[in-house]
Amino acid sequence: MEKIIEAMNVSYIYQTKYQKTKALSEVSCSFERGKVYAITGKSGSGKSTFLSLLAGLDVPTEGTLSIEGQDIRKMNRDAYRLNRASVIYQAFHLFPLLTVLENVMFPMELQHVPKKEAKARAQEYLKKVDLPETLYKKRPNMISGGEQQRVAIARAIASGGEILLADEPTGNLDSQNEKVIVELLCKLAHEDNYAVIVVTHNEAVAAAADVVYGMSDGVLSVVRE
Amino acid sequence: MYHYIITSIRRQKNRSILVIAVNCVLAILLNLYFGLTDSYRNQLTDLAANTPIKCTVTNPDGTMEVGIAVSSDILRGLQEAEQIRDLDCSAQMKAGFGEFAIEDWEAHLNLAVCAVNKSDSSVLPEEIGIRYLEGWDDMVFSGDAQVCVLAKSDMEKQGYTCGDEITLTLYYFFYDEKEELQYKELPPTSMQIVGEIDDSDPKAAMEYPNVLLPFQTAWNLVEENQAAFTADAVSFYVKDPLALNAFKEEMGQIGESGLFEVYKGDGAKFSHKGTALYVLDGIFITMADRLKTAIRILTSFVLPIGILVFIVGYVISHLLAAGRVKEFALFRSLGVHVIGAVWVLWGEQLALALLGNLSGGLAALLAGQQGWKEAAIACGVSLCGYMLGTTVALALLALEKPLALLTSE
Repeated sequence: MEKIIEAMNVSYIYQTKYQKTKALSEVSCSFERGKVYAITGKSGSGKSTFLSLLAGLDVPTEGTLSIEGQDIRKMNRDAYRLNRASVIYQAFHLFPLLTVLENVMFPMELQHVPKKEAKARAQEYLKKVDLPETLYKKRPNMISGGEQQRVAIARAIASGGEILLADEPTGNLDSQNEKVIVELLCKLAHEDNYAVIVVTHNEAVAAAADVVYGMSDGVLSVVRE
Repeated sequence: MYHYIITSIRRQKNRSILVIAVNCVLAILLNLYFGLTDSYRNQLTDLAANTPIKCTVTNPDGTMEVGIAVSSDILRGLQEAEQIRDLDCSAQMKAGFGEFAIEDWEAHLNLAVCAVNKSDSSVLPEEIGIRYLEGWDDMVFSGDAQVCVLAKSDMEKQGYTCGDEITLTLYYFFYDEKEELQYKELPPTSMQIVGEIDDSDPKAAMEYPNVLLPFQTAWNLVEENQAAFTADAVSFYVKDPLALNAFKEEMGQIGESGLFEVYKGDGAKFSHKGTALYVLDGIFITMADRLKTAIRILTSFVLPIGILVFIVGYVISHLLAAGRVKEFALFRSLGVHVIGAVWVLWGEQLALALLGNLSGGLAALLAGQQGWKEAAIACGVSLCGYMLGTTVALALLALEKPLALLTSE
């Protein structure tokens, strides 16, 4: 399998006016297309910091993080998030003012996809995540948490990237919806060849992953390969 | 992103209306403020136009305004002066019809002659009526033609009619070095009668002169006969009452040693020389000072008002931005550049502030508070101050790290 992300001795230090905190310590790992990766660990272990580096929202203090061989420091990281990597959050984070359909169309609007085409594609992605058509014109606060997370996944794949980053995607869901979302993420990896990286402390989610990493005090270790 | 801004404005009606209302109120307040300042400025300008400052040349101690001797140097200086208007000069002379010997003066020298440079000269009675020969009008006095205007009764006595050519023997009076009145006989002069003074009312006629001459004609006649001409009375108005300093400076440079302020102290030496200037500027200065003080006070509030508008913009945008931090972070997470993400919130505020200022400006226009230019300036200041506050509030928001606002950790 082709490596899409590679981290080599990645460290990250939070620096405030008064102190320095090492959130990640010499993390080395790689991620391939077509697989689901789970990064587990306690709160404050550095999982989400690592995810923010993978999403290009920040850059490593030390070490190299490369996307298909290109150093993320030298990349246009906004374009990287817009076109290649999408993040799904525990709290869904849909635009409350936009309808379900408009939320999914939004990344395509940023990519200047014509409105008609964007609408057709958004409908296609919403079908892919099994969201009933009757909900398309509703606002996020009018649908359930599981439905919101499916919309968030549809929005993530709407950008057309190949990397899906998920931060506790089932954290706010009941067990039934949790199962649906996990299956959906696995399907995207195995059938549509996405590299799915999930930060979680949920054992069921970790069990469904192809590779499991553990994170403790900023140190990454392989739990299961 | 424009679509998002419009959607956000439409779907958050209460928030949008609040921002529009705040901006509308700010615009109205600034229109009131600028309107008030402009009103005072206009009053000051109107005051200058409606409260003319009259100046009169007097003798040094200010006791005489008429019957003084204003030198030709001063007269020329005043004619060329840029800071004055409506110069009013006159000179009094005596005359008799035809030629006669000085010994026969009692029988012949019975015409009171007044040389003026305008028909509404302050030395002439206001109600004096003059009928002009065809082709002539009251502009005759501003020229130097060899013409005269005669009292109707004198014309009838002599059998003259308008248009006749007559001979006048003029006597010019002046004060010598010892302040004693002297006279000089001028050679008989031929003049055309170009108008008649209506002196049919004998009571009014007592104050009328018998002969009116153009001032410059009299001046020329005296100087042609090697005598130093002096005016008998001179007055004028300050051209721009708001430029009194420039006026005073110019007056100080007129003639050989300039016109000086009237000396009212005891012991001032009496003289007939017209070298002092009495300026009636007291009322104007008092009223103008009050207006200037009001304008100064209002103007001193420009900065605090600007800061106030800025603070309103900052506080409102800060409060609104606090509720939209996750929206901003989400933009960043979806790959929108930080400037683009700020622009969405900034653009929304700009659109609402514009709407608010337009409605506030329109309200001020409809209330007749302002002209459209002044309203545009007031709204521009309001908009700039508000948006500056917004920019600072959103710039601080842009410093936030997006993932920290969105992740579970």
